[in-house]
Amino acid sequence: MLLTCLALLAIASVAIWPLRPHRYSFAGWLAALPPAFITLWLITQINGVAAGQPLVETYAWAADLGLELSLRLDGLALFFGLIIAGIGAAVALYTAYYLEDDARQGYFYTLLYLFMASMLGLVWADNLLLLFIFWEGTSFTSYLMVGYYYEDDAAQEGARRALLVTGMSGLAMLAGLVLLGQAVGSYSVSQIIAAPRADLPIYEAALILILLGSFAKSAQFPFHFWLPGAMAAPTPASAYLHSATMVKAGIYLLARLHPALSDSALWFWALLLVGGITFLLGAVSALRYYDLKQILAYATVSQLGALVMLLAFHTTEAYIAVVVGILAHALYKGPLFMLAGVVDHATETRDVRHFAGLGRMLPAVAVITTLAAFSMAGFPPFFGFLAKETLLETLFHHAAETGSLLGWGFVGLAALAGICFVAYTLYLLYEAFVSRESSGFEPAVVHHAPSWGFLTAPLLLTLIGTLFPFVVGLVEKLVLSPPATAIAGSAVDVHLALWHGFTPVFMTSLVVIGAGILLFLARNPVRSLLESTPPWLNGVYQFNRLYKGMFALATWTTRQIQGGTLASQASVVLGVAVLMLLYALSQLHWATDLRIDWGNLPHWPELTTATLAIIAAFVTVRTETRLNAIISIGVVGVTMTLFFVFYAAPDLALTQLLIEVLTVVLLILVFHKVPPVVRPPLPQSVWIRNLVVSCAVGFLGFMLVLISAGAPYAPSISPFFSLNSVPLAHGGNIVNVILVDFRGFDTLGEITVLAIAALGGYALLRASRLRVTLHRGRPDEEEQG
Amino acid sequence: MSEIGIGSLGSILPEIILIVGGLLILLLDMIQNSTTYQRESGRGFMAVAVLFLVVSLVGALLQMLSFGSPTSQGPHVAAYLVDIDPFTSFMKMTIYIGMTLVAIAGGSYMNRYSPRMGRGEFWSLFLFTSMAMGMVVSANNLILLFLSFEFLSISSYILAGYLRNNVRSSEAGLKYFLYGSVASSVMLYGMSLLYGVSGSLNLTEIAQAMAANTDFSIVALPAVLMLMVGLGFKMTLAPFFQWAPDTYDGAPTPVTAYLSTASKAAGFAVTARLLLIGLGAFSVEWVPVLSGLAILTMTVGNLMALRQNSVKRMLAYSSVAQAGYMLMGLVSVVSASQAELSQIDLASLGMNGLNGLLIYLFAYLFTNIGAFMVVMAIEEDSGSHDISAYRGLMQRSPGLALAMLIFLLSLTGIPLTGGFMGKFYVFGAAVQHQYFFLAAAGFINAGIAAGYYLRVVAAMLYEPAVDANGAEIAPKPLNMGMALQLTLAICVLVTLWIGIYPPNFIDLANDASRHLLALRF
Repeated sequence: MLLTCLALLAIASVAIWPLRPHRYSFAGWLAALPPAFITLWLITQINGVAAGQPLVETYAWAADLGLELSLRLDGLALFFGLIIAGIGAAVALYTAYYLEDDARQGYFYTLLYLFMASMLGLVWADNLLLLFIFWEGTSFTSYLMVGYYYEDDAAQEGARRALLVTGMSGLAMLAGLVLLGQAVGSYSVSQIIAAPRADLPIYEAALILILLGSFAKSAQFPFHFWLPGAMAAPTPASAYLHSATMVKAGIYLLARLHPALSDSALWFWALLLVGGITFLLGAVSALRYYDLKQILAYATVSQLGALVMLLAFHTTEAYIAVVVGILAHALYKGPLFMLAGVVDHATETRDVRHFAGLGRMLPAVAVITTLAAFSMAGFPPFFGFLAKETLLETLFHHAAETGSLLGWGFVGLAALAGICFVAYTLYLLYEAFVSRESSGFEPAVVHHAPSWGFLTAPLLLTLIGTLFPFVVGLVEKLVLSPPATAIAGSAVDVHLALWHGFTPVFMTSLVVIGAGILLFLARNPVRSLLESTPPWLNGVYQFNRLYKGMFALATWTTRQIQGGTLASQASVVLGVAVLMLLYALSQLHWATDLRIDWGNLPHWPELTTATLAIIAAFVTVRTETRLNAIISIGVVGVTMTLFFVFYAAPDLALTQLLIEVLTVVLLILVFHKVPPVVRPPLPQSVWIRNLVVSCAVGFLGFMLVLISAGAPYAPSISPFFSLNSVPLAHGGNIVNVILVDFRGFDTLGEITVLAIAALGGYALLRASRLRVTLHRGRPDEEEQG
Repeated sequence: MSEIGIGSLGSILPEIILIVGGLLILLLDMIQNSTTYQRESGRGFMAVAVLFLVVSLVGALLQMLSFGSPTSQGPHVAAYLVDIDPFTSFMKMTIYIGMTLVAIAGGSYMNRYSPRMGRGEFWSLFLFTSMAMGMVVSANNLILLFLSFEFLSISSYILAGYLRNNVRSSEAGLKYFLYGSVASSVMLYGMSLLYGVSGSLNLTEIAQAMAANTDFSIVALPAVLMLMVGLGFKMTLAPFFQWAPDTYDGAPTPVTAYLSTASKAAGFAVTARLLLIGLGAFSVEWVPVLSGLAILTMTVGNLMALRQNSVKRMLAYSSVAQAGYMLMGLVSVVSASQAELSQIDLASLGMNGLNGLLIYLFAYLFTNIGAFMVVMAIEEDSGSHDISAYRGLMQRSPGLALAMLIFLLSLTGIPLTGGFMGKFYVFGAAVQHQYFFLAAAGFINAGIAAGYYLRVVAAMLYEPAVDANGAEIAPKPLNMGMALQLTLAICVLVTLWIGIYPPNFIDLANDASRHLLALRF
């Protein structure tokens, strides 16, 4: 059935595009059906799962790979599944109104369903590799959704940035998952989390890689910057991906692997510090922006930080706080994004400075927004209040238990972030709906009021969120306990109530609200202070610098390497060969490895010949005309011949001489036909490079010969021939015997090759009358005849 | 040494078939007189070539089946010069399939653009090239290895410069030739060193001789380095890759398609065999060299691909970068920690690096041939490789655009495509064998690579079609030949097949890789 749900979404995604849903006014209601159906089905499963009987489905896939299509619906998977499918249904309904009359609405729905399927698969997967596949699926579909407005450069840039950050970290995470799976011996999630794995040898490496992936996906510091950039997405995508679901994927993975990986100091401090920094950073940053969606984006970053921070702990309070936090956040942030979209749709701006008395023009919107926003601020008796209470409870508990200054420091941090939450919530509500003047900007006008259908989705979610705290006693056993149990790895009982009496936590909440109101009143000086922060503190700034730097490097590399002359490219190859040889030489023990008799120096004939060869080579390079060059290169060859003469190998000398003569004749033949070219003198730098490369290559050859001469070779084959040439081949001249007897077939082959080469040469010479005309460009014209 | 006899000819049966085919085409070409040249469309030659390629493919398949069940270490033919084992068969199958696909899809292009005289030559050279690749992957002997390597190179030089009245094609061929000859000569130095110290040309005997006398190890490093110059040239590793972009860009697109896939696969197979069998005992020497080359290759390839506007050139650089990832697989055969070096349990290793390389090569072959075939289709339609020619492709030809999308996703390494499986195995092996720096470099590069692949995706899916001056125009449908459509369909299906349901295929790759690793000294 789990697989059927995924298949349903996949089929819906394929089917809806060709239906062109933007033509029908009821499209949204129709589109909400598949996710609504899944939500309902999941609700029917709650009882069974809460009783501790997860639904498991396994299908064979690639067993050798460790990959199997296994889905498992336990408390955590069900909890996330409900959020994904439930909010998915609301977003599907909302989309039709947001993208009304947009011809690409169907395309957006296709992406939405695909994303939903990936997200559901991600939380249901019981196999690490399967989980990763769905993980990448969410990255890719979200890339397409953020880049939906393709003419908008900001959207393209934001989409690319999001994909680069989440995609690359996803690969790192894959590495971590593979390490973990290999070390455990199974990729099955339920087996991995069955026991603590902190004692595995690869634990640290795997954990760091997995954290990298989770932190980037859940927009934790220092990766948080991609999330505000992704706000260029159509608002349904922001509401769905960037508040309720995709950014929670990292949280989900941390929660999922919590039983296996959390039992170490590394886990605790990494999550606590990164989460804490993100929590505060996001909350403070939200104060600074004017764009509704930007404010909400930073608020989301902050909330995600709080969740990561909570996952560091091992206490019952923490597990409850995580679960409550996730649900509360989904139920207020989703609607807030949708309402921002409604306002944007009605007034065509999201800049709060443009709004003047919007509350009177859009009263319904104002009411729903206020309900959701109060939850965000954590005012009692809203759901957000419960979330904040549980968070503070956890931190208080930890601080009291350890008694350390740092523990109380984190309580203070949470309070500070809470103050910011209150302040920006009030600020957002005040500027958008209450304030009468548009602070010097052109006031926004309502072009067309939103229909009730447009408001249905945020209204429903807000109502659920608002009512939840009042019925929490009824549903906590079924909805909240199972996920908390799954995170803990052991049974957790959730007891929540709005009223605990005047506990320290409650008092702190009251202080936070009061201080928040004060901060709201002092918002202008605070904002100008924030605006004075240098730009390099901004993550986007740093990312862009990195990105531009990479492009600059790419341009530089391209200019250096591409389109160089053949000589420069060849010198790279030769230079590298020499460098490699130098490296090899550096590994050599000269005394022991090379057995060279240094006392046995060459005599004057050899020295004279060598000098002659060097002079001839020099003349070859320096001479003006080709004929001279060819002749002097011939001289080099003849000196080689002399060496054979000195060492009593007349037949080799003869062969060498013949070849040299033949080469000279051939070269002259060839160059005879080529017209002379006058080239401008080489620039000095090129000249020097050529010199260096040539000398280096000469050195390469020299060292190779030296190594060959000095290396302890396998026994020489010469004795075999000197012993056997008379008895076996009846010949006194060893070389002749080798040529015609021991290697007779080789000689036959060589002669054949020579004959064929001669034929080829003849054909080439004959073909010289064939005129070939060259023309640049594409090869579209044919040679005629 | 086994006896040389007629019976052992079966081990090179596919190559013999190809030789016969090539010679037949040469003869057919010769018996035409000058009047029939005018009418010659080249289709007949193409048909013969494809026929012989398919027959040799069947021959390679028969060889593979003769090994029996994948797990049995059945009677593999290990002649003195060639080794016919599951590894060889796997590579031969890969290469012949690639060449067949190129022949089917690129045939009409070649027939249209190549000079009217000598169309038969192209097809016979094409068969000879295929034969050389088949030989080079099975060669177990330095001389045969070098000869078939050179044969492959020389016939490829000609094919790259085949459009001889086109300057860019001639440039491609000449550049390839000049580079290739330098690289081959350096490689020959390395081979001569190996022969010098071990006194044998047979790889297994070299390994035995080297192991018997540890003094020889001083020669191992210079020899490996010089071998890598020649092999690196064929595999387009940095810094020996500089011929590749110019050659890939200028050569006729079908030739580019096989140069960047089948020919590269042959290079990797040779490298694997040489290093693992011949120099397996000296992995301490060659692992650092190879890892350095891998990082350099993927980084330089990606950086240069980032700035290209020509899609063909972008693919050329990307194929350089892909070679870097593949090399990671070869490095990861050897474990990074010395303790495990001596005791590799073959059965337990799901990711032994070599199977990653094989999977990567196979998946990459289909993906890249498919991508180059799309480039070819666009080129035939608009005469341009520029990215602007890809704009609005989704409206003009949804099928072609979706095919290209799948190829690009596969090159990026998105799950459920073949490219992902390759990357997964290669990166997995690197991580498992604790080459973290290598894996990290790979991850960063894979991220960068997504940038330029997605640029093409965005152009195809989102941007409206433009004419040569950049003015927006109404999308006009694009026509493709049947053969091209068929090839694209095969490439798409295989890319998805490996990505979605790989078990059978992975078994094959495992078997092939384990065989070579078992031979390892």
